[in-house]
Amino acid sequence: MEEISPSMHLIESANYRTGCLLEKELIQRCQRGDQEAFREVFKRYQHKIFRLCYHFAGDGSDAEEITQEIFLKMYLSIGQFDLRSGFYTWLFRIAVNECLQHRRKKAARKVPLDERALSLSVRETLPLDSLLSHEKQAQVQKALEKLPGKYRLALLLKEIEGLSYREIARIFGVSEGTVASRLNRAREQFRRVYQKEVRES
Amino acid sequence: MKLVCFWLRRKLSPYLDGEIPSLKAEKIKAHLEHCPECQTKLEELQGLGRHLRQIQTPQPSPHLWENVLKRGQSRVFREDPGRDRRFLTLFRPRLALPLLIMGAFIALMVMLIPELSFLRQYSLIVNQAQAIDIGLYLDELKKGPSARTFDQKHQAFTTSADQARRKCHFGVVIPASLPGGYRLVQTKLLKSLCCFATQNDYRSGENIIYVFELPPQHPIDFGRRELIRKMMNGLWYNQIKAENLQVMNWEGSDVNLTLVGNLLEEELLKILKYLTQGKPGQFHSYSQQKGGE
Repeated sequence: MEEISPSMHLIESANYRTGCLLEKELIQRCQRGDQEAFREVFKRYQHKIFRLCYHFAGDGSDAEEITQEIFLKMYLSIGQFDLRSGFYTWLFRIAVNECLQHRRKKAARKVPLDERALSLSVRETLPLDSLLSHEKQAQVQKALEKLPGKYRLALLLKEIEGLSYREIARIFGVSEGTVASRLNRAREQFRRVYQKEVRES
Repeated sequence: MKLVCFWLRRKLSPYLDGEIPSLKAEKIKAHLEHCPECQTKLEELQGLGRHLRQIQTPQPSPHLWENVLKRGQSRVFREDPGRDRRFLTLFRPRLALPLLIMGAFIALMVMLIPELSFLRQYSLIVNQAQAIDIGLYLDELKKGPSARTFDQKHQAFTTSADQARRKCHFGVVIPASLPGGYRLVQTKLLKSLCCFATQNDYRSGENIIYVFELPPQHPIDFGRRELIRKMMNGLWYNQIKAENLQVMNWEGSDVNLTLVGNLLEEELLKILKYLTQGKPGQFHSYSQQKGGE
């Protein structure tokens, strides 16, 4: 195994610092109302946010709608953001709140679940190899949608985004113990619902 | 299911995420090696995670940015968001408290520093209220040695024979025909001396303003005590010439007041000039009117 030289570490560290600095500068520009900076932030985070929203809503158009709202809320409230805290966590907190709010609105409208799962527009954009396991993906997505909103988001943040318990705790504003118990229950519930889906199909 | 397995399965989720302390993780690992049931359970959880990660995410629409702009156009971009936010920062909790303290400090300074009295518009009202008290006091004095006096400390009238020996230094008769009337002089007196009382003669319509001595510890001072002392000891009203001024004779009264009637005309004008802050014309007319009579 090739050993990384100390100089490589230094370069990585310097890049990391530069990245942080650039992001801080970018956020400051956003706070001054710079639209170009806002677009840059949007470019950086749109895929991550969209992915979370897509997995949460299970529908491309819904995910787009939630993503738009998240970035709009980010722009409106970026003046309140404290530069000393992590922007990533702050943005995901907005995303989580927006997802939960969207779910409440959706529940009020009572749209049937089957219509939401994997809309046509999304299927068209999927690559060919993934279409083979489309049925399985639909089962996973359906099982995911049957989880309570907070469990679903905790599971997505852990499994898809790969965040630590501490980061998830900051996003939800709860303790790490609560995150651990929430994830434990989410996994257990997800396992039961998924097995049921598989049996039914 | 063994008790150990029951306990361990609750810890499988954090174990899978690497969020268990290393010592506990070692114990769980050791158990998993010998327990195929728990091992299956762990693999099941790992498989679910893999399933989740395998869900394909489509690319967001290329018009997503335009749509965000469109959505926010009516709400955000028409205004200058920076300016609004700067305004809103004033209401942040960490700024609100210092602003409140600063406001309270300024209010205290205005109350305490005499030079800032121009900011205290209500001070005149306070003085007027006190002047009315003095008027009442004078009226009470006229009733005799057993007269009641207004006790500032207890905010009530009390009976005291000593209080009946207050001295009235001089009195000024203000005719009803004086332009501005006695109220003008009263206001000027209020601003300069703050120790007077008025009496209205209903028959002639004239008003008499009495300026009298302040008790040593009287709360009404306002820095004018020295000025009154000068007036008392000076020559302004020692040489009496009873020509143009009405003599106020209170000798028949039980109250031992030192009346200072018969002021020299020029002395009176001097006082009134001071009291009216450079508007002696009104008193000239009084003098001329009196002289013409």
